[in-house]
Amino acid sequence: MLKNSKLVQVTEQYFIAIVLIGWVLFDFTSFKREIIAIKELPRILSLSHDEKKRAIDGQIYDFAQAIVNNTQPNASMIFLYENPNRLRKALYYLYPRRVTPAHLAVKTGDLPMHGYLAAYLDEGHPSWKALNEDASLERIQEGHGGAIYRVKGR
Amino acid sequence: MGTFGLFLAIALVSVAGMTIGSFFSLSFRERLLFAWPIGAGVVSLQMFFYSLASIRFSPAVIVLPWIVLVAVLVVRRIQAFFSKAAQGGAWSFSFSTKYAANRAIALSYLELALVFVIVFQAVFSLVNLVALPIQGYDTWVIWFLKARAFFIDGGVSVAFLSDPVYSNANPGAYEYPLLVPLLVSAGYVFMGYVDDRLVKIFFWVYYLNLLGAFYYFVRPFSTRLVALILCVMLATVPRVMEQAAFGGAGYADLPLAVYFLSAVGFGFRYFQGGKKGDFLLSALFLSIGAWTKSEGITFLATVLVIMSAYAVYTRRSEGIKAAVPAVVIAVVFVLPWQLYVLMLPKLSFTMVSELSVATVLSNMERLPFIFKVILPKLFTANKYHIAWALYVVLTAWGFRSFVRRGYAFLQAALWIQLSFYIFVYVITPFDLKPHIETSFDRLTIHLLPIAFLCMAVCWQDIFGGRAVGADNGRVEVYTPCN
Repeated sequence: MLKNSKLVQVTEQYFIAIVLIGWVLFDFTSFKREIIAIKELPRILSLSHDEKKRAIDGQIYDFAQAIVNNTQPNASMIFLYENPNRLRKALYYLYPRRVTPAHLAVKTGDLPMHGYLAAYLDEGHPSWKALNEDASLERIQEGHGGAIYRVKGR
Repeated sequence: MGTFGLFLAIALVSVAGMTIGSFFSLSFRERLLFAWPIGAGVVSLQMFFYSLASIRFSPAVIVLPWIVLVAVLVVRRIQAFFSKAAQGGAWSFSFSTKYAANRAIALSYLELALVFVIVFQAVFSLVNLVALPIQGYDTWVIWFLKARAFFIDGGVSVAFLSDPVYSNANPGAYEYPLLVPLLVSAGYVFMGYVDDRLVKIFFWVYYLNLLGAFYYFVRPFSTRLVALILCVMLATVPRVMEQAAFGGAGYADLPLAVYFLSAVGFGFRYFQGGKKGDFLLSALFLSIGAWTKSEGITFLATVLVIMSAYAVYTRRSEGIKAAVPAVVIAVVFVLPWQLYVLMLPKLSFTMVSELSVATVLSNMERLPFIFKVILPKLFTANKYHIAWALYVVLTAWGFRSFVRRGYAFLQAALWIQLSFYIFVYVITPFDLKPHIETSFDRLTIHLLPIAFLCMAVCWQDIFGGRAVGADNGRVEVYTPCN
């Protein structure tokens, strides 16, 4: 501990000044981030719940909602996907539906079929042709980057 | 019940926390301050016990025990009041305005500015949190997915936790303790539906707890100005704000930071004053921390061993009388979940699955690389501003603080826990760099408040608590125990 009381006070005053100046200078990017966020707030607050979800999750949110709207909570389905992150987001919304993920599967005949098949694949993916030509599948919804099929006879 | 239900959930958790707090040596204001973190721990544990007993979650079954407990406590208080009156005691209430009269707040301009920053951060955090839905990846695949499933299923189920569809996203995630998912689930139960945007208010309350607890622990031995400066610096650490206001909200690291800080804060007080109540409160927060994240288990073991050893060494039988109930508290919070995990499928590939002496020895060569990656992170302004740099300066400058009772305990808690984190990097079977990149900045959130507590002690020791400020150095005596 510094001994002289006057010296202590002066030293601490300088120390506080240095700390505060250092904090302001080195936390500048953080302040800037908050200011940007504050400027964005009015726009964000004006968005609806679905618009916010869409802005953060992308199309997979709408696709997951389409599945939720077209299936019962106890439904089971195959989920064809390319991007694991999108699958994770879909799983969050689809619970408690029983989902069996299938990565980049082309031949639906190889899959243990359930009541539904949801495909969320890139537009040019070869699976689309196979899915659309598969006589055991009935397409019940298309859009938002994917399609939902009902498996006939299930 | 919608939004009203959410506030009802906050009220229930707070009442539960205050009720449990009344069994410890906490004043009313202290009970209020720690109501949320304690309540979150006990209510989530209550919900887990309900799941074990196959009792489906509903507002009524969650509230009922607390109504009964509060009623019993109120009746006992009334009985004690009339009993005292019958014995000739004065008919008076203990409410007093003395405190307010004696402590008129006269803040300097600098202190006002610091208070403004804290209030600004708190308001910004609240508004930004509730404006946006969840964003963080772990929030999706771990914490909020579980919360959603527990709400829909009406309880915790082995079927969900052991389903590889939900566990493959993050190996080992289903073994994570359940405080956060069950707390969020409680919010949904009271609201009646899933709203992953509004329920983030819970994490805002944790942020307030973090700042409030820090100020509470520092203020007794520090001037108001210094306590506020450090509080503002803690409040604005970018990594803390990431989980308090931005995309990281919903992770369990911020709650764990509150538990770690509260545990070492009461532990420090125990080293200072030797009160059994402080020991037990430290044990309570350590135990709830272990129920929050797996990292809390190592922290619980470390701190409880240090404190128990100190208690028994310095106070013999009194120390044992403090340590035994502390261990009981830990067992109540930790054991049920650890036993439950035994029922779940065993993982063959985890962060510590390759733990062996041979692995440790052969992987020691990783250490230079680990330090090379983590050290620059600690001194990166857009992650921690000057926090760790100030920690280094104050620790070096105030090296004599190590002779103070309790200070070495704070530093030991910080460094031993950090060593555990580094040890996991040494033995991890995952790609080392991505593993560090995706975890280290979250792990440091647990330790930062402890580092700030160390800074406050050093600051006090260096300048003797005579900082310039509105209270003119009127600081409660920091017991020098050499």
